[in-house]
Amino acid sequence: MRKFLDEGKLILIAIPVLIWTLLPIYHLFVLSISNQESMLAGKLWPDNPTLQNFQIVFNQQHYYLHNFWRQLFNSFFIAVSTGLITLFVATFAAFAIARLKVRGGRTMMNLALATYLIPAAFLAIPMYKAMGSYGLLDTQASLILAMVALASPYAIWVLKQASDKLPKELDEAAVMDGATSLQLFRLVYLPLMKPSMVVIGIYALLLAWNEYLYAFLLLSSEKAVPLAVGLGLFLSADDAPWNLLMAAGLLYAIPPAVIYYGFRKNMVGGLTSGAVKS
Amino acid sequence: MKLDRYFVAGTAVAAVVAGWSGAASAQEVLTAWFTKGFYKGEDDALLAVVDKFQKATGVKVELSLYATEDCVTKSVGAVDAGTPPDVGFCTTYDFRTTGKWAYDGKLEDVSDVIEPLKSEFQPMALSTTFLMNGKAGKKSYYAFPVEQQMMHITYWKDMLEEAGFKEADIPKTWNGYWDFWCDKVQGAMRAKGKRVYGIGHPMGIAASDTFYSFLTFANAYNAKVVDENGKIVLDQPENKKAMVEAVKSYANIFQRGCTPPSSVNWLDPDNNVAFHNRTTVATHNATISIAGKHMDDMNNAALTAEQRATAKKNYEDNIRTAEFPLKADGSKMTNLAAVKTAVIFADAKNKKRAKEFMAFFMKDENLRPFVEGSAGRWVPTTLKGIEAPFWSDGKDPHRAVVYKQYKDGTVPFQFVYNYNFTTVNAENVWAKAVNRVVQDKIPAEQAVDEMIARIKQIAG
Repeated sequence: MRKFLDEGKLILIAIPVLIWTLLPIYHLFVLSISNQESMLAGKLWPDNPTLQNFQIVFNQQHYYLHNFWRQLFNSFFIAVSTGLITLFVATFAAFAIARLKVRGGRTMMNLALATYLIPAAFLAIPMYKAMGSYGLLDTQASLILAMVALASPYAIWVLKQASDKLPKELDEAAVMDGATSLQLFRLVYLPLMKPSMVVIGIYALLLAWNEYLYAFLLLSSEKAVPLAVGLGLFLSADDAPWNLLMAAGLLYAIPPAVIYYGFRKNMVGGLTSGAVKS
Repeated sequence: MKLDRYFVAGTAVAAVVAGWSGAASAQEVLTAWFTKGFYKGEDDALLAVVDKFQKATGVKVELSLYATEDCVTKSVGAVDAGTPPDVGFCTTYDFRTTGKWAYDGKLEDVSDVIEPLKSEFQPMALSTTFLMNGKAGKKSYYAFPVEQQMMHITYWKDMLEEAGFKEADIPKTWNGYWDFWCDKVQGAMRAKGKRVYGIGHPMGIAASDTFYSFLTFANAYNAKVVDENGKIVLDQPENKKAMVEAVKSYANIFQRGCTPPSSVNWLDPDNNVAFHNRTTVATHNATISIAGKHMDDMNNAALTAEQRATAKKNYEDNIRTAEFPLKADGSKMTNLAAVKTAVIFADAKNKKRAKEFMAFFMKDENLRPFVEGSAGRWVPTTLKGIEAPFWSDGKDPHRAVVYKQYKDGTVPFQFVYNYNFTTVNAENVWAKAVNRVVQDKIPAEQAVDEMIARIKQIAG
């Protein structure tokens, strides 16, 4: 009985939370299948649901969607590059700090983590200035580097925590067998770190996928910006074609949702792997 | 030894970065940031100008187009970072930054470009670019008046007829006009069982529509806020009294229930949305974008023939663009106009070419297609531009009204005389005063006292 009551309480809390969370997504979906006349009618379900908006988006038939596929590719390229580079940086850093015990490694990691004390938005202008000094403005490299800089401290910290849980004896045995540091990294460390690496790669990828501020600050050309910035063009006028924006937005939301659900087991395992010390 | 290794590594990184970035230094480059047009025609006209300029000078124009808010945000960031483009034209510069940038010495004096063209501009539009530079201690031309916007009334003619009225029934007097929509039209629609509001009246503090609309009301009551030297004159008895009347008039529409209750939270698109879904019969808006949406749809090949026909019917027959009524004292209304300004930045790398480009861009044959490309959303600042058939031939029912409003005369915003009013508007001191009356139920006199005190703090 008590268990039933406890579960009842939980459900009572969960239902409003679920509705609150899903309502904007539902609204997004309803607008995306509404035609011109019914999109502003404020109805819970359109009278004549249509896929016409998706057709317009796929065929790039609206002026603001002329670069839809190009910008979607840009989003993929920037997000995947950010994920891979962050993984590269963070894995080596975590290995050096946690396994090789490089002098000053922990201090470096803490200094990097300290950058999170400053909101990323405040760093946008200094980052813009730095990229300008390097002549990287309006190159996708600038956005990728900025995203890697933002993602790396957390990535290093999580991977370092996960590394700490690996038994030291494995390293010692490999060294006894004559393994070099790089062999230790490749043959022992990487296979054991896979779950955590998946989660960190996805974290960095999604961070870059959802980024807007840095993307529009660092990139200028319409053909270079990711789709998030491209869709921002719809807000240029107070009479935006909301149904098209929602249809494009829905499509843009699909890849991260697929990635998340595809790797959710790794996400949970990877995130908690560094949470407590054994 | 370790130091040597760091040095080698550092040099290698620097070399990579230098190699990465050093590609495009051969050709002379001019950087320009513009707000992306709502229509392809607008951007095509701009690209044609850029193309012609490139061919004539051999200078490569690196043109970037941004969404309205992104454009100004990015510009502010670039100016602060000391790396602005050479030319900037964002359609909210005038509301947000032009005056302050000029005062802070962030803009290049462009008098040498403007002076030979002076006679071509509408004097009011040109006057908005004659700005104070606090560093130089003098006024000069620091911007180019590219295009402008005005307030218009938009109403559903078919809904008006459904309520049992004709367009000829709409009064011309200030109070009579609002009473008509509020009591007669709304009353008649309610009597038919329709939950419709007479007016879509922006009240939201976060909406620029609200301060644009409110300042039109203040203008209707001749409430002068600043003089031409930027000195605040709102505290003078006659101006204060007029402002109290303006606040009462603006608040009254909400208090009588003639606008949707949600209008206190409206953002800029919301009065458009309420109009499109026929929740309101009339609204006021700072461009003819409401009608323009239906023009977009009627020309949109991606829509069905039926959808296009409905949009055409709406644009040509059902929706009307109209002037504001006469002022409260019965005199003709002068329209509050916001002139969209292009600038050349003081820190620009290629100021010489930037001036050449702007001189080229402001030529009638280049500027006119750009402004007309907006399909009526933006109004010309040049005398030739407004007399072009596009505006003056009377064939388009909406543009014909805009033309008439232009001819009736325009007045600038206060921020032209005192740049601190960009902050007053951003804080929306005007909407706050109205909301104090309708929500906190304080007398309009007290709300105006608070308004004056805050304006003096910000802009005094």
